[in-house]
Amino acid sequence: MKRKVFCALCALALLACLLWVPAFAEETENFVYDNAGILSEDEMLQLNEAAKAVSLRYGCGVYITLFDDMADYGYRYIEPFAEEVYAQWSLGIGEENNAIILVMSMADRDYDLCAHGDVAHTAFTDYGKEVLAGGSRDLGMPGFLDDFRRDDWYEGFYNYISQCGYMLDCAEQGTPIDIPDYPVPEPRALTERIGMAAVPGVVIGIIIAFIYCAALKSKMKTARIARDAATYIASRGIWMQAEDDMFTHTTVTRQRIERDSGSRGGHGGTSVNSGGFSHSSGKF
Amino acid sequence: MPDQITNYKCPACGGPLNFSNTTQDLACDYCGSHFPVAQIEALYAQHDETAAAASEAQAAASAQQQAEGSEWELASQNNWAGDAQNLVAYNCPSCGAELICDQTTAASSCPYCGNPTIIPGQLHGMLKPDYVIPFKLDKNAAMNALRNHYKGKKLLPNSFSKENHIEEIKGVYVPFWLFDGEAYADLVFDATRTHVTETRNERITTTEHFKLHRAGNVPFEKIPVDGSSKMPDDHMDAIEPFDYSELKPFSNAYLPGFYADKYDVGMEESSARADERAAQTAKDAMRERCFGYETVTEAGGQVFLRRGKVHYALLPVWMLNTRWNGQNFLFTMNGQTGKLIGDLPVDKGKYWKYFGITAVIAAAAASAIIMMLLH
Repeated sequence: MKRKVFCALCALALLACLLWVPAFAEETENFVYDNAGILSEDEMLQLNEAAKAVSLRYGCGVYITLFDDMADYGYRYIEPFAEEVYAQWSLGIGEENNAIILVMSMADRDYDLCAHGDVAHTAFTDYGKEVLAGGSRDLGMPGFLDDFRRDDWYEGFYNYISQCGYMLDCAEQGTPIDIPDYPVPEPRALTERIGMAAVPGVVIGIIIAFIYCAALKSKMKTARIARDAATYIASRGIWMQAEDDMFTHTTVTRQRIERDSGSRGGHGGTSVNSGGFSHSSGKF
Repeated sequence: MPDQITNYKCPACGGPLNFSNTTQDLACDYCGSHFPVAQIEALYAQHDETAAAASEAQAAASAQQQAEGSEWELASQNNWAGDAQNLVAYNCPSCGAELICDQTTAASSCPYCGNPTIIPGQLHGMLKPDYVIPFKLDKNAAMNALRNHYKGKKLLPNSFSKENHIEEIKGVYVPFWLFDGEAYADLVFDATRTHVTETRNERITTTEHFKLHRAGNVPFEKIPVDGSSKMPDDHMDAIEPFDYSELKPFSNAYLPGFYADKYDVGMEESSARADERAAQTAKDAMRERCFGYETVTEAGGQVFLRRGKVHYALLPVWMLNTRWNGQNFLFTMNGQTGKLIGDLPVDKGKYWKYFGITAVIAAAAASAIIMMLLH
């Protein structure tokens, strides 16, 4: 239900954007750059129109830049590569060149969400960028990573642009998507701490005592059957006749790093580096 | 090897000669003279010539057969022949042990079950050992080793060490089959290497999978398997290894003063344990060659055994028997290296005392640490 409401809001926001007279129309026309060739011409046009509408409505460029392999440009890491893309292509709009850029390198399926400018940093907090990519069940927001993992590129980019619009709108209204400020909990009373520590402490004590006594008991038994004959290998030693190692395949598992939002009470906001950029990167 | 003369007499006075484990030579109980084993054997060597020639012919035939066959083959099949007349066989009616002693050794009780009534019998149907390792350590060394064995055993009942009187300590030459052979292992392993990278949002674990093929020959020399059904296998395995550099061609000269157990588990029956140990070692050796991986799992393959010669040897073991609370406790000591083993009783009261003390201390420490972590 939340997702449906959210999608309806996004659609309205996009419609409003398309009707709104852009203040930065003269500055740029291109918001989607597909150097990897994964989008059709129609998809490019539709996404570009949507991104342009959001960008001009909120004064913050919403960009999509796709590459075959960042290594072709001499980069091993996606974050500096994203900054280079921003600088080389002179992205961003407004006096501060505000921008949120989704940079993707298809070879190793790397992505980076790179933000620049006060408008972008306010709307796309560290937590907000995580939600933008991975979604949030609590907020009823879908992330684009789920779409990309199914190679559903158009749907993923559409979600990205829609959510950027929603997050810029929230920021404009003074309520950017960020970690709520939880109050710092009061120190626990000594009796409460004793009560909480006693049970696990006793369990740990019993386990340690069991291990220690098992070790003492094992010393009492010294007669044991021998299972091997390593002592009796002849002095001429082992003669190896084959030692072949063959690579068969690779498996990759991805585990999302869960961040305990409660424990980060009061530590929201956006981490901006010395170059004025903030990032959130990973694999899709 | 001298096969015919066994009842060695002192060249000086004609008294019986006994092997001394401290001086490693033959000593006369009557006049106190000492003679190297080789010297005494040389004196009697002329009596052996006929038997030695026959034995060599038999060994040559056996070696030829070995080269062609794939089953375990006895290195020699010498019998006692004329030596038997100077040995005495004893049977224990209680446990069935069959023992051999030199005529000069008084056998008073069974070293396995302690039964004081052992019956003289006939020595027959038994191979003569190829090798012997003489006793190097005496009874006092065995008692000292037992005292050391008790040390540091916190769960040992006080009454066991205090009331425990080893009534009899016996030096027994235990029959062992020593297996020579080779194992060829041809195995396949599954192996993995894992790399973990972390981005801001994800932990990515990349696992590379490999198939490893390892094949090789593992040669063995003298894997020992005891040929006595009365001697617990776990005791004999646990006092290994013996130093084979001190193996001597068998001579009756080493027997005086000790018991020699007659094997009652044949080479064929014992070979299963040698096969098992050789195969396991070959597998272990191949696995050890799979380095550079985080996990290695055997995925198939075979181990082939090329069975070789089997030697029959008598190896020195001190046996210490005691009873406590109606239970028998056996301690055995390697008569060459001094390694002593034997299971000890556990005092349940002490066990729970240590358990309680440890649990209280550990629980208090763990609780304190947890409390510090809880703000």
